[in-house]
Amino acid sequence: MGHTRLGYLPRSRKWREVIGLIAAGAGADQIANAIICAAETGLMASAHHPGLVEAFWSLTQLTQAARETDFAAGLRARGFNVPDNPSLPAILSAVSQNVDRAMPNNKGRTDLGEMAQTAAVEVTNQLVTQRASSLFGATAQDVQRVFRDLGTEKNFGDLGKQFFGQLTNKVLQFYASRECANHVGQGQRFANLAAKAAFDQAMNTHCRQASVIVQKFAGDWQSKQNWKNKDTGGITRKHAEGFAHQAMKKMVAELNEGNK
Amino acid sequence: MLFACNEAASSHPGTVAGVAKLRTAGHGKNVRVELNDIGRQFHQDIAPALIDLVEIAAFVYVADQMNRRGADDVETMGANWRRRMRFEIPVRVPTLWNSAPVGDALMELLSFLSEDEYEFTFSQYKNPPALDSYLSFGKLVQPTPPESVLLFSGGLDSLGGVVEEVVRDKRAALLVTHASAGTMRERHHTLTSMITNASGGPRPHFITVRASKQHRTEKEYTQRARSFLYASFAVAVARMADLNAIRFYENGVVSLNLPMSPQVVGSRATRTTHPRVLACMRKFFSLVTNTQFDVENRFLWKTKADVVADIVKAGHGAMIDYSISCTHTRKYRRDQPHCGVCSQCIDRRFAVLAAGAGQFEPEDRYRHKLLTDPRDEGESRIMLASYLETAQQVAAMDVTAFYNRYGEAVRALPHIDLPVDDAAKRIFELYKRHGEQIVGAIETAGKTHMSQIVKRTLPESCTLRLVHDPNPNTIVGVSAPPASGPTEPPPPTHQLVQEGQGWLLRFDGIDRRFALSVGMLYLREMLAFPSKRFTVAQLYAMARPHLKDIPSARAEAKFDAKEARALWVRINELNDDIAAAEKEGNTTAKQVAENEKTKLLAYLREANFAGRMKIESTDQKRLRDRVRNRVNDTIEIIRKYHSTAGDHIDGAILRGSVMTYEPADVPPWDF
Repeated sequence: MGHTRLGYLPRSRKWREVIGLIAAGAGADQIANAIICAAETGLMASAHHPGLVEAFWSLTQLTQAARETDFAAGLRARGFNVPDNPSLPAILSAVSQNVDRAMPNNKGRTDLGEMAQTAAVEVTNQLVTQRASSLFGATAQDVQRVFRDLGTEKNFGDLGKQFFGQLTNKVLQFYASRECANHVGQGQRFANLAAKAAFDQAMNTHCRQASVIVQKFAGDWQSKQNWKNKDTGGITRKHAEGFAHQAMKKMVAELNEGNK
Repeated sequence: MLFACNEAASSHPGTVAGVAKLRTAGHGKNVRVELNDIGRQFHQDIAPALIDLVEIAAFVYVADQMNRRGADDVETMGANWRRRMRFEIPVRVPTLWNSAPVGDALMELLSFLSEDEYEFTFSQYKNPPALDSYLSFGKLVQPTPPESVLLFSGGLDSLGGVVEEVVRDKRAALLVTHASAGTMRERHHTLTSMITNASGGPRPHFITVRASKQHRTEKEYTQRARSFLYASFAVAVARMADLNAIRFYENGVVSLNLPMSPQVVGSRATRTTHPRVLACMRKFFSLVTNTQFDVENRFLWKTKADVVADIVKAGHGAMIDYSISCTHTRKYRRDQPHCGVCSQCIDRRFAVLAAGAGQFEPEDRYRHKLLTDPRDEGESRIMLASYLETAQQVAAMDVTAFYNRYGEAVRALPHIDLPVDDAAKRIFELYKRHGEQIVGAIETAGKTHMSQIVKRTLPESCTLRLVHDPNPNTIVGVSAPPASGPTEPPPPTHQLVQEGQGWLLRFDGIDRRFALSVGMLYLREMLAFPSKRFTVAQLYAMARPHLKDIPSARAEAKFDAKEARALWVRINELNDDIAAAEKEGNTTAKQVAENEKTKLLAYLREANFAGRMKIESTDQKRLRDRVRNRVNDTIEIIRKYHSTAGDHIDGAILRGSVMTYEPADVPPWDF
């Protein structure tokens, strides 16, 4: 029990290029570019899938629910399974459950959706703990206040930026991790695991920088959608799907062009 | 894929594509289901629903192994990893199995466990197989009524559970275990004898179970539905003994099984005893048995090192050597039962070292020694590196950083019998302790082997070198020119050098790295000698100094149609430029264009080209195409990652049977 399955990169020409660049010591930006070129078709085909849509839609709903007087009731009305006065861990857990419920019996589940599900949880945790005291220290009122703050145009831009940056980093590492460890050791690209960890960090930083492209777009979009749909129940999954697809396109274009 | 089971197989006569027929009894039987050595006192009427459960679990388990998952489907985002499996199964109690709560609970359990999509169609049996065809009743009669049913895999964790429950607490236990194969049986038998001898209280009763496809046709080894099979069999055994609970013993780190590498997404990390799986099992088995049935994992808050330490503390360290954790059972050797490569072996050995129990398990029990043997490229090295990196990183994290990285962890929270915040805290504490234990084991080993590490006498890809190698000569993964000290000359702005296992190209101060390629060798030769004419044969030979004879090296440089056309197009462009410059009175531009035109005409004259194409031999053409294609490919790759450099090189290199790098202005290249 406890088995973990690992895989390899395909040996097609474009993936061999990625492997060659890793061995040659290419920078995080250049490797990100090569991976995106190789993976673009599959990635964009998955960008409409329910896991990604539900994860992003859940983020929009957290900020909406926080505007209501009874935060817990607002969350429950949007499908989140939370107790009264929900703590941050309870909300994180509810976000994850929400995404799972959107794909009963795994219908529509993809790796991108799985990564989006965990990215939504991680980014929510990052943003709330930055603004409140800590994961466990914040009261339900603190948590609600932070989510309400995240609903402003500027802060929602941050939320969108963080989410797509985190998701993109996960996608790139999903591929890179299939090869990088093969290049650790004396005379190799990474002398030891610490050097490899530094590369992972560089990749993360690059993704965060690239995700700036989504920041303003996300803020404008949320503000516009809220205004347009204020009488019809706010942002729907369909709206979220359209945005998520556009945002992924922007990220892919940015990583493709960013280092030339 | 459709799996038509027992009587349902008859409705698909002949061989039908996409349909597999599974039969546990009767004509065409191909699935073996056995529950052996059941105590005679348990021979009583068993609820038909339980026999259905055993059959369903066996069918799902066998189907799981027959239906291959996509291996390297990274480009489809796991579309082939997740399979769609349909079952047609006759049952004894169709009203139960067709009821929405049972169907939903079964689906919820299996779909999370294996991450596949399931569809079940249950029909009424006409002639169900007799239960006796699956059961064999041993001679043993357990005098004490059993108090608990444990799943005993023979691994370290379940051994820890048995030591705790049977040896320490002296509980009467039924141990449900799988039937060991071949040479492993001997070791497993020794372990069960040691447990029996050490029990002191009621004698433990081992019940071996098996479900397998006859005439082995397993295509998929991941066996994500395995725990459903054993749990279902254990539930049947528990109900025979009038018990309403079964127990797993699996350490919490493996139970939660957070991804050790970013490539491990979804059920690529097993969810065998994940808290959500156990919660689903509780719900499902309660509905099937019509009782409040409990399924628990009593080691959720222990690490594997904790489990080993407890076994040693209980005075039974000697049993450790007889437990088996390795997944590569088919490579089992009597003297070396563990491969040392799979995740279980790595985890086990670190746990033994971290618990200070190395004396109970000689290092050479592993075919690959954990600390000092080299690790081949591929799964072996990636697995080890990922395991160590994860442990090191988690050991240094605070709780916020942990949940910033492991969003997957929150999936377990609603299924743990604690307030959500407490569960979140305990998961973090468990993982942190595990990380610290692994780091501690590595540090201790590092001290022991420090002299070999410093002298580099250990293999470079062994664990200790991967972690401790002090070699600073690494290429940092950021694209920036190297920093220079105040007294050092400034770094070159244009450079093309082979470095490590690739090329460094710096152009206008911006670095890009490229894989080793012969095309880059050609480019370096040309860039190093601007305006020098290289025949393709010269370039080919320079890149292959070991070659004694190059077929076309004898050939004189010749123009071909493409090159001639390219030259004349350029000369005509220059004529236009000269005329335009004259008109504008721009003497500098006129001079530059005239200089280039003069050079090109001199080149044409030197090659004695009189407007008629020279005939090329096939060899010459092949060689020219080969070299030119490599150069073109390389320029394209350069342009992809450094468009300025790519454009410059593309515009400055004339490609034909003779090649030359002739830019308007030569950048200050450094080689």
